[in-house]
Amino acid sequence: MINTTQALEEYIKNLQFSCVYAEKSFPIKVESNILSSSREAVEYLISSAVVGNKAAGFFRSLPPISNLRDTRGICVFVSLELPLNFSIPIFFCRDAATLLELFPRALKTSQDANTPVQIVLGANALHNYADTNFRIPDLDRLTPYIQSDTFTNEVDRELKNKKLSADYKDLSALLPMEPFGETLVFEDPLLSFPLYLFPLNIKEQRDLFKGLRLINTTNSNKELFHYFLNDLLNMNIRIETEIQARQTETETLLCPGCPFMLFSSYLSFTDYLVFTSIPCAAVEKKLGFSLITLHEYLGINFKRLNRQTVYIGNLSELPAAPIPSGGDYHFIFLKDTDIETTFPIPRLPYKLKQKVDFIFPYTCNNVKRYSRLKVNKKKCRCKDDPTCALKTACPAFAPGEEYVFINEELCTGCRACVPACQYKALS
Amino acid sequence: MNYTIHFCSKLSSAFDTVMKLAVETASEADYATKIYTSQSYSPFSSIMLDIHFIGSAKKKAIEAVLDFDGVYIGKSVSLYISPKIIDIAYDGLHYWGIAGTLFKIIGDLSPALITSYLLKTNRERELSVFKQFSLKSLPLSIQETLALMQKEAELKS
Ligand code: SF4
Ligand code: SF4
Repeated sequence: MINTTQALEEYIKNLQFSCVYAEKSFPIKVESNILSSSREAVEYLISSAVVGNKAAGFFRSLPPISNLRDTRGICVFVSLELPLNFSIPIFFCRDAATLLELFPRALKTSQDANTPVQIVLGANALHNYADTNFRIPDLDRLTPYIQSDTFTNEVDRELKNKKLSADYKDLSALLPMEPFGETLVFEDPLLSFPLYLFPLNIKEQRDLFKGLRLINTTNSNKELFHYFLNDLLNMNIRIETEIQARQTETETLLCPGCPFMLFSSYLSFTDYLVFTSIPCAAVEKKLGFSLITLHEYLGINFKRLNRQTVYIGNLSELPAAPIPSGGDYHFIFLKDTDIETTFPIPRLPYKLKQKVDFIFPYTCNNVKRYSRLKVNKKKCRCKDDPTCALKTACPAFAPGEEYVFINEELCTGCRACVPACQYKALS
Repeated sequence: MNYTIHFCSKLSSAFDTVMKLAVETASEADYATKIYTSQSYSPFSSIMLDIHFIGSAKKKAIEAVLDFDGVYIGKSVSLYISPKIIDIAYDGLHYWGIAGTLFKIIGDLSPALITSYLLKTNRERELSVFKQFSLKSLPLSIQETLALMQKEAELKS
């Protein structure tokens, strides 16, 4: 019995990927050796694979690929969401067993067809268990090299996709070969969802779905099917649901020391609309800030608006976009690099003096540690449901028998929780 | 009898070990298991594993939440067990305490596999907590709810 999250970690470690990027909020811990935004990381990974490195990227949602090239080394993008456009082969892992089957296959495809591939992990694939023999695939070892035409060679995508479809006929067999009837009833729609999606066969088989009315009796993957049939194939198919959605859920927790946890504790943003470029699903779910890029933010504020806005992003985004004067912009930049700016930097994260226009001393990837927090056992009165834990969503807290308990290994000493305690028990 | 247990926890190696052992234990007792996971949003987020323990062809299943870390926030369920309910501190050993209660809910599972695993790995403290909770009765109100659910499940099938 193997935990799929651990299996993914093993693949990355044992296959010696030399170029690895992981968004910090990706739900498994992967050591990243590239410090850049998600968009830039895609280009970084592809070009490193072009010369023969093994490259892997972990994204919640894979940014669009603008420069698709032939890769000599393996290039694999792992994401949690299906993309809106198909430009590279997709391997969809609907559960734990398919993850272990498809991950090695996807790597082989990338190696043999010299193309980046995308592995999409369905919600049921991560943090799950599979009862199969886990094996690390045998892949080529390459020494990176470059020559004068390495980056000038044009690739005929159409031709390449045709070849892929022909080479991987068995993989596309799961897509329908004959038109569906009028109504399809799926007991578990996931079982019928195609595992392998190649750019070409999607187009070719689009017509087979025409006129379909889908009845989904479990509702478990309504969104997925809706996405596949309607968004992707643009088919406007009716999906009916017969069973109530699941109502069981657990708390969303942030990382210990998360900058956003400090902002919501120390800065009241009620008079600002907050935008961020940090693609963190936990923050999005907890705090509901809109995800945009710096350029989009500059566009919004080109002329004075009816509401004040603030943009939270990484400091490394700054030089890419000289900020035009005259707009009503406000920024909080998270210090991921050492660029000089005129914005003040508080020495300690909990000594924030101003609400906006400052540099926060760290970002998600380099969370700093400060002297650990202590609970005053006499003052603490929250045995159950401690307010410090509820308000901050910090995973370091656990309710104790008489007072709250802080997991010392997790606590970074960020002090986001201090203002949350009405009894002043944390210091 | 069929059971649907929602196991909720922060990510931890103890939880992972408990889950593996629970599934193995169930298959030794001829239960088929289906495991579904929930989305998780950050590397520290809590997770929920829904495990269906299928022991019969009947449609009805007894549903329970085993909340190892007090992180469950869904609809209220009649059979809910957390460290607070069984009166155990969140000190790391509590994973084994909650694991013990699983054997009170699914009465025909044998705790032998977990016991021998803990013995083999020299985890004496974990073993004593596990034994304590797999032998001790559940709180009275939970026992009553469970008995009622069992009766209902039998009647309906
Ligand atoms: S530090 Fe905060 S924003 Fe960054 S990944 Fe963790 S929870 Fe998300
Ligand atoms: S316990 Fe408090 S100080 Fe420690 S990481 Fe969590 S919020 Fe920060």
